[in-house]
Amino acid sequence: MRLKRIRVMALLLSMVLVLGVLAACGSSPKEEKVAAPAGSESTNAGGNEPSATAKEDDGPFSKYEEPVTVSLGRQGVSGNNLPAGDTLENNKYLKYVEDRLNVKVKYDFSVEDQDAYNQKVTLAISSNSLPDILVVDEQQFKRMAKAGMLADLTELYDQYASPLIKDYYNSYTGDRVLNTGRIDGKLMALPNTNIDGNYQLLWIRQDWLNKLKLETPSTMDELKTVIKAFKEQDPDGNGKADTVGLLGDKSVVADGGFFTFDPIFNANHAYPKNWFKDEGGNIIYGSTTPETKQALSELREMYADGLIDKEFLTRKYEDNAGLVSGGRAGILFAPWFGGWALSDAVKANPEADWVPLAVPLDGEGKRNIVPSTPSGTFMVVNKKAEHPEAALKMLSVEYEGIRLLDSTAQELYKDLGVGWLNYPINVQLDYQDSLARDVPIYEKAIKDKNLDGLPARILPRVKAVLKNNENPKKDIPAYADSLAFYTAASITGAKEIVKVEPVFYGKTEAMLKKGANLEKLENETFLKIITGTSPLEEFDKFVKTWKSIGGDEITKEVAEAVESP
Amino acid sequence: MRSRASIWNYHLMLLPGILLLIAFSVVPMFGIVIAFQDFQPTLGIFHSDWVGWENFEYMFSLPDSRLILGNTLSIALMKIIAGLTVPFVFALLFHEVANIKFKRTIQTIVYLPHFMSWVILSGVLINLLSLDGIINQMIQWFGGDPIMFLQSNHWFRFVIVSSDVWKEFGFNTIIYIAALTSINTNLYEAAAIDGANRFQRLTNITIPGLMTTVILLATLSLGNVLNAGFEQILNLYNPIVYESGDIIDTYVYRSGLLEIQYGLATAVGLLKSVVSFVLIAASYGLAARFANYRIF
Repeated sequence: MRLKRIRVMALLLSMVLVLGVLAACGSSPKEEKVAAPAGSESTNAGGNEPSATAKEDDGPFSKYEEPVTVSLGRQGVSGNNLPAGDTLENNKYLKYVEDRLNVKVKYDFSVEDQDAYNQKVTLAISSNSLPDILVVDEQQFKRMAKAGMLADLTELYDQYASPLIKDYYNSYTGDRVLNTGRIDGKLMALPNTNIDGNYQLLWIRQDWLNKLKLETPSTMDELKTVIKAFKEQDPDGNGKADTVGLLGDKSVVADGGFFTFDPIFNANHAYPKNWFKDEGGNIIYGSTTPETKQALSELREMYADGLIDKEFLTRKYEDNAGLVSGGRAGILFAPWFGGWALSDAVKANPEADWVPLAVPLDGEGKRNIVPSTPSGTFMVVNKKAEHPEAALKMLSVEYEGIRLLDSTAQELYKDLGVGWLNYPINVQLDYQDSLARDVPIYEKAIKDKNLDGLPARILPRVKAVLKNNENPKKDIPAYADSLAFYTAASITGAKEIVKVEPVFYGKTEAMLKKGANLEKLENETFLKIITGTSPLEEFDKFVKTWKSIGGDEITKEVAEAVESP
Repeated sequence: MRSRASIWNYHLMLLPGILLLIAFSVVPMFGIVIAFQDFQPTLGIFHSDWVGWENFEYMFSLPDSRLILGNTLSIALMKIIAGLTVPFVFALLFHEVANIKFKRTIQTIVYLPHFMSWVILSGVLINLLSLDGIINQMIQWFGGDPIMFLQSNHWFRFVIVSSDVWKEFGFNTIIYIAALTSINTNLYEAAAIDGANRFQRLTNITIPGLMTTVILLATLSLGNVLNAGFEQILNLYNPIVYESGDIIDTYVYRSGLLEIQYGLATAVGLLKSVVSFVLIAASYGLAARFANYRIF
């Protein structure tokens, strides 16, 4: 009798548990089903709210009456210069935005590493649990838009973007930046603005040149001579053969990238990863041209001769930065903002004298460059966000702060060189010609030593340049600002520069689907050719494979997009 | 009556395990339908569009699909073979050591790497194997040319397999040492009286005594043949060694998580599961036949 009871109990218990699990399994999708329409309803309500309750003064800078909390996912920044005690999650910049708008920022996630950040974003996309505001790349943006996850910002932009932000976007010819955030005429994301002059400069250690009694290089051959000398003639004078040649990065070419080889391709009139029209009017992909093959063969020779760092494939950005600050590398390619990165090396060794140059020049004495894609990152707003307009208001206030247009903002972390990336939303916005338009101001200020009448936004930088001119390298943040904004920025407008404009930017449907595999094929082939793992003839095979596994399809789409914009 | 009741008790003990299995292994299986869909996160797996075999067709049209399958198999097989023989030989050598203190020290040292993650160990390895790392310095000391282990398709698999052995052999030795202690010591005494020397005792008593363990471990590891070590390879590889080192899991990670191609990644993962299923079934058959190992 007793045994029987135990048996029944056990059976019941197990049934209950099994049923419980089944119920649990069953319920999660059901819940999702219920939740989705509810979410979209609330979105509609949220979308209508601003217009329904709109007041006279409801604009970019109007403060919420009740505190509003906004969730963010963001990529953190290393070396953000924050004073002890302050963090990315809790600093004066966040407080500034909060004070002005009554918006509290809550981070859903914040990671430094780029890959880790992308992983977090894609996980958030796949689990359909986005924070209110995210900054994503184009691939992610298009996916989210396609999946209907994003809020339409068209009207919000008109109402809540500050005049300054609108000015920035308007400075780009033909609306070309804001267009990258539009899908079917609707503004689904706010793109960042890639200002003019983000192409790679040649950074070189002038003190090493002097020591080895070398001329400043300008052509490819002169460049090779310098690299060879840096590699072999012990420029640091420590008696050891421990210097490496030209630093490299395994992405080979990248718009605005560090250590990539774009200038060497460009000196060969090769423009990989960009779209052009050939003489016959056909659309061609820059990575498949004979010029690219020529450039690869040149890089291959340089690698074989030891002119390119033999181990660049296993090095991460930090490893390369370590070689620079450790005084083991004296030549590299990086954009103008490399000035900040290189100032670290000067901190470790004040002898190091990094100078930027717009070389190597091609046979006609020109430095050819491809203007940056209009934008690369996008601020998107979750469709389910309660206050989608908060994103635009925050950005408006943030830029009042970054550009020091507001007297309170001028006092935040004064003279500490705290990076603007500590503001909640890291979308970079500026005028198309922002680098070039400021250079004359610096020049005049240096000549006259007079700061009167300068706009507040530029004042700290002018001071930095003057400070560094008086006492070079004594104040590292001032030196870094001066090196990037003044020295390097002046080079970006050099008279040798010739812009080679692509006919198409952005991503087509087939690119989203097949682009990853094509890029992998391209990157793998280029690296193998450069490092000598594959023969140069592998390039022809690459072109053939590229076309057959999706390249032709993409070319057709690009052609259509170019014909009917 | 009594015996049946006691069986019920055992079944009840099984329940938590089964529940965990259902929750973490069976329920996620529904996710494989993504392989046949154009998956949209907002729509979920219940409302995304069906695309039939499109993801699979695209997968097989890629030049890489055969390559990654081949890499996965060859790396895993090399790992299985090395992972069986090295601990086996080490256990035999170890068995012959008399000094207990020495034995303990060695054992601790060799199984220490097992407890470290690949993120840490890969950093150590990249340093050791770099051009001015200690291994290349040794090679140069003996008059050889430095080798770029991690940038060479010739060496990469060797590095992967040997570093995996380095990490795990100490830990795997434990099973063999346990098996060695179960061999009846009377056999050794009897053999010694019959005049068998040390080597004869090894080949006639120790090795036959360990053989069932070896066969069991070998057949069981076949089920793992498509797990070639995601974490390890992800931390050590670079585009130039995709050719020899890109495995199914790293490919799924790149295309699925980094490039947001859920359908394709799931299709590749499903292919892996199907092949794994066949191999597990086969290894179970082999285990039943050679080692008399049965679950049912």
